[in-house]
Amino acid sequence: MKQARVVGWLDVGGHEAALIQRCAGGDESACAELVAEHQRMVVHLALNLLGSRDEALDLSQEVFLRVFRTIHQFRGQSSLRTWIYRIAVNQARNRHRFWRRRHRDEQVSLDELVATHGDVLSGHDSTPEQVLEQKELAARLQRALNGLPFDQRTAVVLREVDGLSYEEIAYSLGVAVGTVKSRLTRARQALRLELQGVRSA
Amino acid sequence: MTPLSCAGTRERLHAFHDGELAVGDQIAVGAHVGWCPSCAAELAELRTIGAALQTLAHGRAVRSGVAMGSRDQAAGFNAAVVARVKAEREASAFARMRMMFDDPHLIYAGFGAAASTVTCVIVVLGMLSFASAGHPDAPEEPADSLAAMQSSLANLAAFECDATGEAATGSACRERRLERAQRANEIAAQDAVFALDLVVTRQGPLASLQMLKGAAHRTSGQVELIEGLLDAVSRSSFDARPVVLPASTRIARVVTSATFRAGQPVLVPGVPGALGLPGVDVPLPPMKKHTA
Repeated sequence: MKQARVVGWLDVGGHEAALIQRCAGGDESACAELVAEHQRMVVHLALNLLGSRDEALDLSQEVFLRVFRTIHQFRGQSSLRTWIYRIAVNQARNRHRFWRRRHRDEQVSLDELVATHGDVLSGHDSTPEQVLEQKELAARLQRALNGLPFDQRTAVVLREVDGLSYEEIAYSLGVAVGTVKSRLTRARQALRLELQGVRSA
Repeated sequence: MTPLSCAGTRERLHAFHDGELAVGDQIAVGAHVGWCPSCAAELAELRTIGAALQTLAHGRAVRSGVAMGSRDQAAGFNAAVVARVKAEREASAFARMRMMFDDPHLIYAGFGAAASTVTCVIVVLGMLSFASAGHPDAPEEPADSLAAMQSSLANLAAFECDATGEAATGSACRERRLERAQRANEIAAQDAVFALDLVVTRQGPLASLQMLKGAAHRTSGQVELIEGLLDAVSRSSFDARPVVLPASTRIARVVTSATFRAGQPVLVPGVPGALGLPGVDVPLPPMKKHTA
């Protein structure tokens, strides 16, 4: 069994460092603990980036396998969570490229989006008109989000849904903080146009 | 603190919404959107979009059943991952191969090592082939090679020294040997090597003369000399020494090699005296002889 290497930890707590070293040493219980701590975030990110449940679960397993394959290379240059985000984003990007080549022609209609996504914004005390408007807004936002380039969509999901800081997003995407800011601005601009379109209609 | 304009506020609005501004800017933008309705409306849109994305993500997780709310579901996922990790570690060789290809630097190193190995093999094979050429156990070179001629000339010079009874280190002998070697070198540049195919008839004349091999890169003067030589050979006959052929044989085909030295009388090996010219060059055995 490969021995855990001594690493320099800058941003990793004592418990996390011990967990990582145990995983690198092949401790199955440590691996199970690491998965239990991070599976929710990985599965949700994969679902938000890929949109398909089966794809998301499959990708999440691949992400954790990759984590355990390369955990001995982790040097504590970021938090473990951000490092896992980086792996998840890279895996999702690869899968997205493959998926886009194979399913380029598969477009989802607005009615389908309204039927599948539209009910999530409606409150219990909304009027039927408000419910319809919120369904329309949700569906159009979802379609606008799906239409964004992968890196812009990832940046906005990591910021708005996962709540990562600019620096963490930059590490996860492997780009500079300035690039993160510009991608977020462009992505939000596209989403704002959809929002204004719904309201003007 | 300087109040911000609308343009300055909108530049910072996304970072303000994300809480990424410095404290001073955060306060300035907050103050501006407090009284500017258009900037406040833009900020409200950003907040609406953020809230909508969070709600959409949550709704998608709930609909997909991956909200991981139940312990059983989480435990199932966990067990599947750990089982795959364990299986992968057991197949260690395969796993190591995959790890190698995970890191492109290792691929570059692998290609570099393979290229170095191939280069080394080529160099070693080249050195071996050159070394075997000069090895005593190596096959002997053809007798009509330039090296063989120079060697025989050198041996002839040595024989002359011995025949005259002079010491091998004597000055006169050394001078003669040097002169011989120098002349051999001058002659070597003009030497011509041929492989000839002749038919010797019972009546004597030669027929069907054909040149099988000749040295390349000849000058026009050499070509002229060679053509004259071949004419002379084709006109020659076996009058001096009639060929004795078996009764059942009408003609004999001779395939032989010959080396002609410039400035020396010409003689076809295997056909001594055929041209009636004296002198023997480096006599070479026939390469192949057919009778028909």
